[in-house]
Amino acid sequence: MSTLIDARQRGRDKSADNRARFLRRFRGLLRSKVADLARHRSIRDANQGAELELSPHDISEPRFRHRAGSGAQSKILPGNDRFTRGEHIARRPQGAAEGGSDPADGSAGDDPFRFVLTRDEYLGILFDDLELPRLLRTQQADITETRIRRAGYSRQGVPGTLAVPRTMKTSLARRTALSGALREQLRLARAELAAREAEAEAEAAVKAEAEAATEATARSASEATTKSASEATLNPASADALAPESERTTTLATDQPTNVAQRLRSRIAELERQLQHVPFLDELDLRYRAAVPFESPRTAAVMICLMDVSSSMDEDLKDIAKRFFLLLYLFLERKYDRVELVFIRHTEDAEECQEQEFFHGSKSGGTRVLAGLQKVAEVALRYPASHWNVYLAQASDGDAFGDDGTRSAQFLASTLRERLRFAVFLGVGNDENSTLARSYRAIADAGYLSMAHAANRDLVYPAFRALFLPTA
Amino acid sequence: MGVGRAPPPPARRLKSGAPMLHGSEWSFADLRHAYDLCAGHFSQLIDVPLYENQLEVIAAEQMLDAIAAVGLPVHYGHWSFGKSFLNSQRNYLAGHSPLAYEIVLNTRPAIAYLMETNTLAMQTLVIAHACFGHNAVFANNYLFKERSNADAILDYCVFARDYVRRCEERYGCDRVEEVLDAAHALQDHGVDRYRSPSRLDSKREREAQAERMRAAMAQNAQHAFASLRTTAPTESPLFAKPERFPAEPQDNILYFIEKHSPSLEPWQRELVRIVRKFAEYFHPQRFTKVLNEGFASFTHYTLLHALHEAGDISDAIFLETMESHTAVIRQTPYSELNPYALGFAVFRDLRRLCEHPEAEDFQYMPAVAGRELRSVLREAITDYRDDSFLLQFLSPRVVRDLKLFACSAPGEASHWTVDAVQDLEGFETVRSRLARHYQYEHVVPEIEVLDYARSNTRALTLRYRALGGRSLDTEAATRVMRHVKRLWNFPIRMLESDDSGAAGKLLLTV
Repeated sequence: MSTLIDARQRGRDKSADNRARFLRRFRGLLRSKVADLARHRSIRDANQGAELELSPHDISEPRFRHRAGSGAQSKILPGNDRFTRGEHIARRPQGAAEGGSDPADGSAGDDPFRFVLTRDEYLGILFDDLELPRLLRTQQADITETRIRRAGYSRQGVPGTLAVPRTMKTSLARRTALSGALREQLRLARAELAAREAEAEAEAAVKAEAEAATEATARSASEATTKSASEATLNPASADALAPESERTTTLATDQPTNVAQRLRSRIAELERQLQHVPFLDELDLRYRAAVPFESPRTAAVMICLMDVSSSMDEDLKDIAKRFFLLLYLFLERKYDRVELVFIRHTEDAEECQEQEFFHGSKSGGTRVLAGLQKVAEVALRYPASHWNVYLAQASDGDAFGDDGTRSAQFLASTLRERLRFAVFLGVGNDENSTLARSYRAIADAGYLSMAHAANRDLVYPAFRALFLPTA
Repeated sequence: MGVGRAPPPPARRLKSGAPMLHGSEWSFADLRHAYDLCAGHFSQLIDVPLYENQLEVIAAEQMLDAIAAVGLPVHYGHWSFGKSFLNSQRNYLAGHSPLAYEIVLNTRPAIAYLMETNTLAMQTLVIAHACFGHNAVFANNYLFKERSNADAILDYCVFARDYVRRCEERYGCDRVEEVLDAAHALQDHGVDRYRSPSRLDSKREREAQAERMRAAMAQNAQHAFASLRTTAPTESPLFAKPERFPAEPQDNILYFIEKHSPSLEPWQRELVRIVRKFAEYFHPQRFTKVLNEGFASFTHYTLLHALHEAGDISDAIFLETMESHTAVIRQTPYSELNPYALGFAVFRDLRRLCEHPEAEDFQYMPAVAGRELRSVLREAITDYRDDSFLLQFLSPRVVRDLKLFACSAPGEASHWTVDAVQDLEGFETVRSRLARHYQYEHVVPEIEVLDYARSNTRALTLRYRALGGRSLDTEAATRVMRHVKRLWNFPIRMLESDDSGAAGKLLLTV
């Protein structure tokens, strides 16, 4: 008594719900882990999932249990090949293997609990307290470019763009259309011929039967004469009634139908010949993949990250800046097919560098913002505005000495701005009204620059959001 | 003619005309055939009723799902199942651990999951192991019959899942989770150790009871207010000397909380009850591990030998199954006992005791030696659980074969002392100590509800009995107690007493 079921088609992913519950349960813990991860991870990796490690203790489910190693210990172990009664075995300090606590228990308890977050889960947790809204662009217009797009099929084209399935479809349609009438006629002619032949056969059979019947009647008639008269009168009468009738049909069937059948046969041959002349593939059938040009928004962007790395920018401030850059990067990546990153750091002078150095490398020296902006201008030349959307994100604690601030603002507004699609300045740290911020405010009011300030990590997102809110 | 492909080997046939099972690929017809063959040989081995079998072939992901939900096809949602899923999924994907070849459920019909990736040999082994070995224990063992109702569990799973879901919709996931987390922490203390529970009710009865409970709560509330107005102060129990409640210590803490918690709402009590019912359902599996796995291993071992002797399976299949069998019953010296190895050794020795007893066996195992194997097997799987099973059936021969020795160390001692080795002199010691290791109180700390001050502070007093001087892990216990506090909402104390049971010192308070 048994049932055998192939359950492989049954729903999978039954644990997705419980997995989500697990993530929800440890949201707080995961958030701090993800935040840690975001601090150390490359900006570019933010777009992938992440493997997290949780301490088993943090996610354990407590139970009442005995304290390991307490009380009188007793063990039964297999494989004794050397000990005798009364012998002493030294106890290992940590109580492994031969004595003390269960070794399996200890090792399992210490292994970190690892699992992989998908990209969506990762971003979800990263922006959990930020709640990424539907972001709208305010200041920047799209640049367009002409691109080619598939647009159905055309009758003209080069062999390379031949759409074979489509061509075969057309061919099939044409063949069906051209040969449909012929096939129908052919079908009718064949059916008629078959009917005629069947009829002829039937008549031949009837005739044969009738002949046999006449013979039989003749025989029975001669017998009947010897018998009663009443019976004899009935039988010949029926035989007489049948005989002429069968003779008449036989003459009809033998004379006309042969001609009809022959005509039918030749007609069938003619139709078959005509059908063969319908070409399998005609030039009319050929279809090519058509392409039409269209205008599309440019889909490449470059994001230039400019940051003051002088000693006043400590790791915390850099972390704030990093979060801001990360947000902007993720935002741009949603808008553009390709986003390139350029990192420029500056103290008294500016240099292009790798991400690692950008965020974690330290450099000593004063601060000269203009040097940074000049470097940006130089880099921007590599990305002509006809092909690239250039974004500038500058982060600084706002130090600027002498006329550096004013000159920088001027340089940005007059020289640099026209090369940029969008420029943003993020002030970090406590001083919202720094020298540089004051200088920038004038050009920001004139619309050359967007400004934001984040004193601590929690303010990064609100600042970012404010930048991209539609100006109603 | 050129090189032709070798003709396929003619299917080997038995005298009966049925083809011999061979190769590693299988079809559903092969599975059915393997099942029927096993069924034939199993009835020769032992004569016990079985639950109807339902074999389900599943894929790896489904196996992961099943493992995560403690094997049940339907279960209520909880993050701990998600955690175990993530864990086993990662181990599986990283290649750290293979998946189970099968899972079999104590349900009626007994559902056995077979992995689609198993070879024909493995499927045959698994069918013999799960559908006959485990099934026989589920259907006949007294602990399973008393504690877990195979007929009702699937319905109850559906009821529990829907109930939890409804509560989540109504009261929010956080509140439901809080209760479930707390109840899970007491899972080990949701079973009556010395009393068999009432049968698991069907869904309809459950709903009716929940309805009654709600009505009773409403009525109680009315009475409570009525008595506040009318009862004279001298009559009030507040001023009377409070009786001890509960009259006797209660070991089923979850049950006590479900029935007597001063602060739970009816739906919360129901959630506690659901967790308790599942704890009860899984209780027998935990305390028949050696018996269950031992008999299942013995069954597949015996059936595969019988199949091979009868020519029903090819040599290759037989060897492959024996290799798996050897891996399953592998016992590493000086490490934890493998329940498969121990159980299998005992059952295999039962056959020897019955069929070829020696003088020693008549002296030490008089209840078994020389008896008919079928009746001994039936008795063994029906009337015992791990501790009693080992006391009754562990023979000196098995102790010698496994080279079991007993050692002990008082708490502070710097060394272990070997108390008994695998000779006849040490046999009794080894056997009784081994059996004790499988007793409930050895595995789960013995904690009871000692007192509920229901007429004044509503404080709950628990008592831990430190048997053999073993103390409680207070760090873990504090965390559990915090969970309990959420279910109780009034002070909770934990006392520690020694073996004698006299109320001892205060251990913890939350």
